[in-house]
Amino acid sequence: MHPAFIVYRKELTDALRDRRTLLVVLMSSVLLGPLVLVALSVFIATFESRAEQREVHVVGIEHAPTLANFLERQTYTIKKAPPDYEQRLRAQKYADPVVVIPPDFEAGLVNGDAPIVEVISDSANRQASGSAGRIQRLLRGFNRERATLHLAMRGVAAELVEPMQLEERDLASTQTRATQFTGMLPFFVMLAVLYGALNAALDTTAGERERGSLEPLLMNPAERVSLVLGKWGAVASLGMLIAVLSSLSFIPAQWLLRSDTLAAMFQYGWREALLFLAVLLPFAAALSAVLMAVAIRCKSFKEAQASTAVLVLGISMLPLVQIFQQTGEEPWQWWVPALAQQTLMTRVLRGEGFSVEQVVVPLVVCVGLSVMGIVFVGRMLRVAAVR
Amino acid sequence: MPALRALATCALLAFAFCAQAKVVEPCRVPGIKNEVLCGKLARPLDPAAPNGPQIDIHYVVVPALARNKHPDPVVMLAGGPGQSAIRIAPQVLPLFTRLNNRRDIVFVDQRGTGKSAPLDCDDLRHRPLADEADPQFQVTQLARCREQLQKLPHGDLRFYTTTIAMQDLDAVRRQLGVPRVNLVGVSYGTRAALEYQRQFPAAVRRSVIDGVAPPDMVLPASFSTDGQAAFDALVAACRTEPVCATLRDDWTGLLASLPKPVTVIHPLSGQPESFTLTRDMVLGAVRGPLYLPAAAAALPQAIHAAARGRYEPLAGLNSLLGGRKGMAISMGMHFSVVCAEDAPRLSQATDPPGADFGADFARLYQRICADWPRGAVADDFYRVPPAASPVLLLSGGVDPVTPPRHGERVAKALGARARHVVAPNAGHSVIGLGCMSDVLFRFVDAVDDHEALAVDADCVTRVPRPPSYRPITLPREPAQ
Repeated sequence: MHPAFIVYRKELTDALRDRRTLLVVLMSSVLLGPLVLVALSVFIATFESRAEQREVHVVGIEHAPTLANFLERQTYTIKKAPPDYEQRLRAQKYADPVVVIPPDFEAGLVNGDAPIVEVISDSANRQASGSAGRIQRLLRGFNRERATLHLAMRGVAAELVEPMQLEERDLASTQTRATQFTGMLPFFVMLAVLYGALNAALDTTAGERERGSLEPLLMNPAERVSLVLGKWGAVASLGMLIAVLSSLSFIPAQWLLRSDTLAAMFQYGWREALLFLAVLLPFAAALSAVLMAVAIRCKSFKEAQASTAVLVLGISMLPLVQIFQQTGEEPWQWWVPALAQQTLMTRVLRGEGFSVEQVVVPLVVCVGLSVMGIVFVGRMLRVAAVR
Repeated sequence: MPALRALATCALLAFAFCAQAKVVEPCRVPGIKNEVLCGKLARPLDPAAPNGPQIDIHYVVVPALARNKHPDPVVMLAGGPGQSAIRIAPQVLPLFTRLNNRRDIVFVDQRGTGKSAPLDCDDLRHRPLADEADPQFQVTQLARCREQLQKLPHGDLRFYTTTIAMQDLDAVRRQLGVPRVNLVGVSYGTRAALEYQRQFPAAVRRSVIDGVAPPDMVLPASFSTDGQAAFDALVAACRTEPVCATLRDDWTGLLASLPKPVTVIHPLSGQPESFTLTRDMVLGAVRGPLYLPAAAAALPQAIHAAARGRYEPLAGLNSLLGGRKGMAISMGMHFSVVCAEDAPRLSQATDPPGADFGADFARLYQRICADWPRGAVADDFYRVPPAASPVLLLSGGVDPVTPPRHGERVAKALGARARHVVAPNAGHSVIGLGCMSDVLFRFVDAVDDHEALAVDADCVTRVPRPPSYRPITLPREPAQ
């Protein structure tokens, strides 16, 4: 048996033996994506069911029989808001915006006085402010109905109110529209791979040195390159395992979606899972090599953790690039590891194709990083042996 | 064996999918935000001559959002007769938002409408007021239009009946490769839906028919009876409201004063027009707003003004309904259908003409239909057989064209699988009322037929009558 494979098997057994760490990694990283997806769907579902209930919460509806009649004709149910609605809205204990009608509403309407009707919500109260737009549209319907009738009664045609027809065109495909909700999923998958590889990478390098088992290992007759390849293989395998698990986890996660709309829009099947893996596997390999290269220089596990924190932070900040960048995808992005992978996975979710450059460049970068990392670790081991 | 059958079904579905991929292609429809699929299908103009002149039936598929969609699409049947289903798609799509998650929505331009061998006459929307409502002008215009249409390659007007059109629809269904469809029909679309399920009962999964216009209703005759009933309901409701208590007197006074010379500002151009106001014009102008209770609520004030010589409010109110572009009707198709299916039975109609609305309207149709080529209509067309699949019937209590009495009769004929929901204060079309999109979704989406028929539609029965329109009144100057 090749010595590299013996090292690989030993390192993998070691990593898998630490059940607790493994379980924590699995729970936190692999389940995180699906959990976020399900939480998102619950959020959308409550929003949808609130819209379906067709309720409007009002103070002073007794002053506005005409408006009440309009709301009932739109098949809305009028609910009286409690007197302390302001405090409750502020304290996030009330989830609906409140419509406040002044006492002189009806007289103002007949006198052409344009009475003031307020829609009260709290922009810090997500649920209430989310429904405020819907309630405003409903009330604008009342305005439109009155205005149209007033003009018609003066003998003015309805076309004159809107001299042009305004139409909206959305170029996005169905799948692309879904990514407005599911855009953060690639980010969670990448974090999962990162954390999956992180522990093993630190343990096999700085950890080994801290435990004092590095020197005896180097005294083995095995070639140094076998040692490095075996260790890297084990770390990369773990990262890839996490990548496989988290990519596949979205397939069953769809069954748990509470919002029918999100479930219909989120188009994630075997094709998407396999494309995710094609993106993630080289990335896991490169990431493992880089993490090991950073950690090998450190004397203790703790020091290695501190050094790799920069890397972790860098990958965590990457989604911000996509948010802040207004110019769309740029060629340089394909050269930045992690950012390129994230952009590729977003394209997969959108159902878009790739150009050769978009596939080859990130792959070349990953292979390059892997080779550089492995060579560097190998050199450091030699130095460690002399030291 | 079941495994084998499943495999065969899969192969068939794959084939159907391939066929569909070929026949429909991505396209844009004005007013629809996202890309949709367009298709067309060649059909013989005369079903008895398959190799004779062909026409293209155009349709639009709004694809379901989900990748794993249900196999039965929802098919929208437009009203009129003469409306283009594709042209009204932008207005009705919001109704289908939830259904569209998992089902395709299909809009087929019935032959004679929209892009499918259209039988359009000149657009009379922006005419002088006097022309718009002058029966003689209409008769002449339509006679001219008929002659022009008959010169078209597809101008044999005998082949535009509902029966033939529904055979086109079934051909579209087969081209799309779907085993069954869910039908949603409004107004004349209900007659189309009833005819489709009479001819192809096995191809229908659920139907929703709103504002039921059955084949046997003899439209020109029932129009007067039902219009009168809706107007009388308005008068009755006004008795309890001080704002419009004088409606009956105003109305009698107005009708007694006709014909009379008036000068009216045109609603669109703002130019004054002088003409003789006739009874036909007034009845026509009153009939329009009755379709929509919110507009009908302003009728008492408009009639009050007209009785005092100001005709603008009535003209303006009427322009609210007739003006929209998408609602335009292919008049050639309209008369081809009505002259073949309704007009021949006018003499047998038992509906008494309304006291005010009279028989003028029926006479107008009779005059036009006298020269209109008449398609063959089988006796079976007028019979409504028991439904093979659940049917939800909707009626507005104050609808001036398709009130609940027609829905009731059809529900009885359809039998145990029919459910009739009446919204007492709704006008023509109940389906557009706020909560109905959810009712529609639950009725179509229910897996079980019983569950579908038990759908809760109470929300529309509670809809109130709008209060009568009150004009803006300026406060009197305070006494010094």
